[in-house]
Amino acid sequence: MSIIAVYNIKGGVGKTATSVNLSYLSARDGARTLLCDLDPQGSASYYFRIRSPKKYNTNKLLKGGKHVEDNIRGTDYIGLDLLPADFSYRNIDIALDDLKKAEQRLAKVLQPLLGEYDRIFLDCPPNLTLLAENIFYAADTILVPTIPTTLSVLSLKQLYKFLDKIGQKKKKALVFFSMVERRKKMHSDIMDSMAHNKGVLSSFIPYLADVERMGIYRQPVTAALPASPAAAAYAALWQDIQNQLE
Amino acid sequence: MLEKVTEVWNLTEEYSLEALVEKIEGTFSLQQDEEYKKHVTWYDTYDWRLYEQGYVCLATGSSWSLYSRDSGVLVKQVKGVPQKKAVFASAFVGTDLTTIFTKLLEVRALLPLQTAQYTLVTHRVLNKDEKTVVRFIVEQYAFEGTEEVRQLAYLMPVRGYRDEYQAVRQALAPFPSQSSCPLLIGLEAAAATTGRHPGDYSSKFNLSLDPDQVARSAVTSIYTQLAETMRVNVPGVIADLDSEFLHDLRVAIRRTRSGLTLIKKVLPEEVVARFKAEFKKLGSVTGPVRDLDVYLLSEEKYRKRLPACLQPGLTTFFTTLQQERQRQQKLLARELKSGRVESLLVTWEKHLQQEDKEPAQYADNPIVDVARKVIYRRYKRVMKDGQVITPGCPDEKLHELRIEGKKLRYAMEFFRSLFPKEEIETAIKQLKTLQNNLGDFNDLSVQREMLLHTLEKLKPGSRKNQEMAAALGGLMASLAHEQQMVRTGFEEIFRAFSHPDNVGLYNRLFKG
Repeated sequence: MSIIAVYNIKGGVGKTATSVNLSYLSARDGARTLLCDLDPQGSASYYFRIRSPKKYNTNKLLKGGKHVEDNIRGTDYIGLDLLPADFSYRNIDIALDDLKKAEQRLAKVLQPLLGEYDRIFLDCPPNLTLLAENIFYAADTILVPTIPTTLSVLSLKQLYKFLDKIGQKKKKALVFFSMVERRKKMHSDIMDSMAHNKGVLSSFIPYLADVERMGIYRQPVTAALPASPAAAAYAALWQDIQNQLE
Repeated sequence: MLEKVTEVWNLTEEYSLEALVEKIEGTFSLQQDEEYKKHVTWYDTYDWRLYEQGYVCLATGSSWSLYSRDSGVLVKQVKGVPQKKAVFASAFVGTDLTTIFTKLLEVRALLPLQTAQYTLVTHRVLNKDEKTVVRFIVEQYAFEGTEEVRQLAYLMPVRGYRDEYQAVRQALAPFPSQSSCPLLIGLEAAAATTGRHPGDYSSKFNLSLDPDQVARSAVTSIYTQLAETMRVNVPGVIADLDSEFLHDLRVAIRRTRSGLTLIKKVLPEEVVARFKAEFKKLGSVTGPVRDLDVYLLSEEKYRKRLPACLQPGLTTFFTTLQQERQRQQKLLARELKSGRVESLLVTWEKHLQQEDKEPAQYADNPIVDVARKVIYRRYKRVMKDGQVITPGCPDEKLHELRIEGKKLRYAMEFFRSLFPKEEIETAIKQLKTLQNNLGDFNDLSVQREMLLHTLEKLKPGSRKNQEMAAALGGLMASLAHEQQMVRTGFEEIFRAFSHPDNVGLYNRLFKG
């Protein structure tokens, strides 16, 4: 039983692709898996062709219990369910602000779901707000897809600082490189320089058109093209993560 | 299958996928996943030990799958065990099924019940976003040796798409449905094609009688059921599938003979005399193979009694027994194939069914009165015989008591349905404890005698015979020692049986 958040301060680093593919692999290996789409854009929900239920919104998410359970949807894959995102999530920080023990609310909502699911993935929106604090509090592992660029490395430092500030351990964060283009010198140099850092995984996800095309066929690439290099990269990453979690 | 399926539709000939899709209210399309085909054979023991313990076993090639009967969930799967007309637990040694099969099957063999070509097709029902909202699964069994094809359908809901599930369910409403797991329906359908149904045979005598039923009609029910038990076991004895067929056949014969002796003046005297003789003859025909089975089944126990140096002689002994069994089995099979048993049973049943020209004295008495009388008489006899047994009395006294006890037990089992369940079961259980002691004592005597007999016939001279004689000697000493211990135990066991509480129970139940 564990909660894995897929998070980065920056957008467009491959968070949703990571959440969708890793949760699919987790379910395929036999673990009852729930993916919570926390990003108001609802890309993960879109990939699984699941629309946000009409009466579902931020308030229901924060109330938890039946309000959440009734809105979970089965995906096309056995063992993998999804809690869809709603557009109202864009104001989630305002809603959280009004609550007592606001930073623990998400953990409280997710706790009962751990009875039903072996693993919960959180596909997180990019920011460093009260929601992020909630996510870090709830998650056992924070998986950070990182494009090997100078700015990304800087944002990683910001993340570590923030974790420290809110009293969360730095080792909760597991960094891996995403959208890697080996032919770019900067990518190679940064990856090499960080290769031996603690909490940095050796597996990485290359920049591949098959991953981008997931928006067209609306399935995890690991399910649609299981023999593709993209699927192989996610499988290797998942193996690496599992080894780390043990 | 992840979730337990509880509603299954039997798709009749009118079923077509296109028509079904049209019937679903709303805009849906269907997409078929890959078809899954395999050749399956159902296996269970003749007395349904797997089914009774909540399992269904299917074999495909040399791969065996054990499922939970009620949920359809796969419990264990093993590979590399060839299929045969009789597969014993020993075939699974070294696999994940060995523990469970050893425990459940004991000496019984798994027998192929029926074979079918099995096809599973999953259709995904898609909404306008082409999202799977419910899975529609069709399983088809084409049974071998028949024209029969069975098509079962069930739905696997997708969480959060309740309305869509109901829409498909509505479309299936015209088809007959069953609230059972598809795996179990498959087993029942497979059994039905061979004229059987799960749980249709048990070696336990279980017959429901009505206390007011007249004795003549009640004994007809008893003997008819026993005759049927004999009949269904004959093919298994001929094919020599496992030793229990013969055992059950012999028990049914013995019960019939006991009934004829115990339940007096209900059937006409000449009928009783004639069939007592006939069944005695049948009993003795089946004796030699069973006697040999008893030794062969205890080979392992015998081996444990002897040190390593005496083992080679034991091997020779068992080889000889095995050869003798083969010879006897041939003779027995020939006798059973002759049709004489079937014609005996037919004549017997005819006599049971027909009206007696001169009804016997108690024919029209209520069965419960007859039952009490029969049981109580036997009970008093057991008590009397048991009380005179002393540490110094000859072994024969214990043998006689065992025979009396057996008669009492059969009588109680014939009529168990006429008495309060809990009390009669307690009474039977008390007697069983006594019978186990006497049975062990008797088995040990018979075995010793048989060993002595073998020893006497051995020709001296050959090395093999010398080794065997040594082994037999060792066994006899070991058996004699155990027999003495069993006999010592008798006193306490009989004291428990004749405890005032137990005497009270028997009096309350059976004293007229």
